[in-house]
Amino acid sequence: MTYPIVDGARVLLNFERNTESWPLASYESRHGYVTAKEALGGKYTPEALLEEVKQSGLRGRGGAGFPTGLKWSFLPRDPEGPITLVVNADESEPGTFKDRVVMEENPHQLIEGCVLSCYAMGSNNCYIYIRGEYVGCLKRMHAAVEEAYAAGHLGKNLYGSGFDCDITVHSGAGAYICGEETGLIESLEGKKGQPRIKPPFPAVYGVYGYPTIVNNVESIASVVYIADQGAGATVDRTGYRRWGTEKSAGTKLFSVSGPVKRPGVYEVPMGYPFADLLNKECGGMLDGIALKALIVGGSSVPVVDADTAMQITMDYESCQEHGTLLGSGGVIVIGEGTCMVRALWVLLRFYHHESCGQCTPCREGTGWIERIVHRIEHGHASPNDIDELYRIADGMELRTICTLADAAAWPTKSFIDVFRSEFEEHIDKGCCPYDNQFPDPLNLRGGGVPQRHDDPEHVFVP
Amino acid sequence: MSVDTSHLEFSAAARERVEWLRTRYPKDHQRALILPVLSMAQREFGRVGPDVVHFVAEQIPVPPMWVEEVATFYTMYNTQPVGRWHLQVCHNISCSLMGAEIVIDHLEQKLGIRKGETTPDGEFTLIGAECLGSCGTAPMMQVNDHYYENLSLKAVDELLEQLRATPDQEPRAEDLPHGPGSGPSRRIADGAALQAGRGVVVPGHGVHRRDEDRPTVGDGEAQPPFQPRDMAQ
Repeated sequence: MTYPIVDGARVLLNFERNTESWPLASYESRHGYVTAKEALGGKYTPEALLEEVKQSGLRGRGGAGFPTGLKWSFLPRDPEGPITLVVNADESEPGTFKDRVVMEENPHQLIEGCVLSCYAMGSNNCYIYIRGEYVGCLKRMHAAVEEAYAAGHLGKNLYGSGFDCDITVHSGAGAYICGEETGLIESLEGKKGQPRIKPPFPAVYGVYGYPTIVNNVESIASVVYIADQGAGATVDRTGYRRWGTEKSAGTKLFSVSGPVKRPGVYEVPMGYPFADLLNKECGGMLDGIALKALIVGGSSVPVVDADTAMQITMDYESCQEHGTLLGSGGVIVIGEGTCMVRALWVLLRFYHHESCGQCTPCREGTGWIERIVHRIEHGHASPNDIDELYRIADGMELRTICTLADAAAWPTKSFIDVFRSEFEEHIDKGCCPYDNQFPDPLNLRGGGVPQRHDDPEHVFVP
Repeated sequence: MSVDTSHLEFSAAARERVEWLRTRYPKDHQRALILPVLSMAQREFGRVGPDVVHFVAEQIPVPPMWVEEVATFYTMYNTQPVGRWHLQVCHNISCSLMGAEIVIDHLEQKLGIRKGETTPDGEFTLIGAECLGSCGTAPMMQVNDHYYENLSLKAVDELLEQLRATPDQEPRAEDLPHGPGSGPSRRIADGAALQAGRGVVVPGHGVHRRDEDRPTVGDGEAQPPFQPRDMAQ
């Protein structure tokens, strides 16, 4: 049984489902570590590999979409200390669970990606920072790293090339802010995860003050494919650019959640229509529920209504054209019957909880807007509260060290822009038209049991 | 002010892990050990109080203040005692859309406590957690280290029974996810097994916890620091 994937796009989920895909033996049977051996054996000089990654058009998969090769090229030519690669596996963006699948089911590809990336950027040391709640990922990554050391895929003088590479798996302890790269660096150093002022950027002053590159799990794991198949070109569909569009190359993992028939993680080429992702891959909405709204890239991006959602193709440009962002690929599908005020309150409760407290606009602002939305949801608001909310969100945006404040402000503004009438209805009626609760799509109250969506082979549910 | 830490001692497994960790970070940056060692200390001693903070500071060694600021910053460190089973129901957007609030209401009724409280017998602490990366298998909850996904109310009831019946066990090296040898487990989340009635429940870890640390109900002590304030209606 093969692993049917859209258009054969299998850069990351390149294993058969429901098999033991994570041990070294399984990975080696899938062309595992061949790429690293070839690259270090003379296929690429570090400069050539860096150039290949640049040409591939790979963009950071953690949310910002910054070109990965370009980021690497910011490293100083004559660094004062050892260069460090840090893999950001602090996946905490609500709606996102793609890195978890890579680490649990394909950990060795991440390790091989680390070796190749370290080689390209001239680093011998790599940390994989995994969020503390992911105990399963932590255990599996530790086991995989141990296996890789034992088999000579990590350690000193790899494959006789003279290149050393060490990986340390590091666990976080529960803080969304550590997903921000400088917050993550602070946390890795054993401090509070409060982001640093940039510049200096981590490429110049990172972990312990040394040049550091922080990349997402998915980005680093994709480097294996790029090194193996080459960057290629979008016009003739070769190499990594076989998939995707000119500006958004390659494949992307999308983690789909909400009331759809088959939620899970899907690997599709960039530019894949959202309508197909929803209706073909995910089997459509649950019976009797219509699409109301969509958050396409994790909770921090602006929400769009159903009509706009159906026009979106899953790439950076299309999302921007339609007033939202691709973000981390955490697709949150919102069904009809959901109170959008309550949905926004749930998001803002999260941002208020997770604000690190460094910058006043964020520390205070997230609390204010949460309280105002709570007031609207419970019918105690006054008519000018909506404008007040908007004004505070404006005041938070672009005024802080990191983007957490923006991540709280964007959904707030977009929820009002798209669903203003619902906010007004709450205020006019003095209560929540949805009775202060979310719908029950699984009929839990009636004894419903969530289905495990194991049947379709191309769906991956962690 | 010195704090007496003489009553605290790491298990052999944890000591081994600490020594391994020392080798993974530069000698002049051993501060990096604070997070993993503090996590291990919490597993061994059940919570992170002032004595545990000082104990961890002595182990590394670093100034206790450095450990204290980490212990109070990150949500996974329980600076207040929690029950033997820490029920953390994700109530972020994806889980809420699939009925997380129904699961929380059910647990509140079943256990007779509100979100953020601990049962009088010290068995369960219930909190609403922020996104745990299990959005496709919502509703879900994390109990101590383990994820239970695709929850139904019946599955929740069964789980509570099984947790109650599960005795404390000696901490094992493989339960500490902070170093090699922790071993991969086939299914990380066993919600499916639970629903199928196979009753997979993981061992608790609380054997090193002294009885006086058990939270008591009604004195306000059991309120963990996760919720800035309870906004539920």
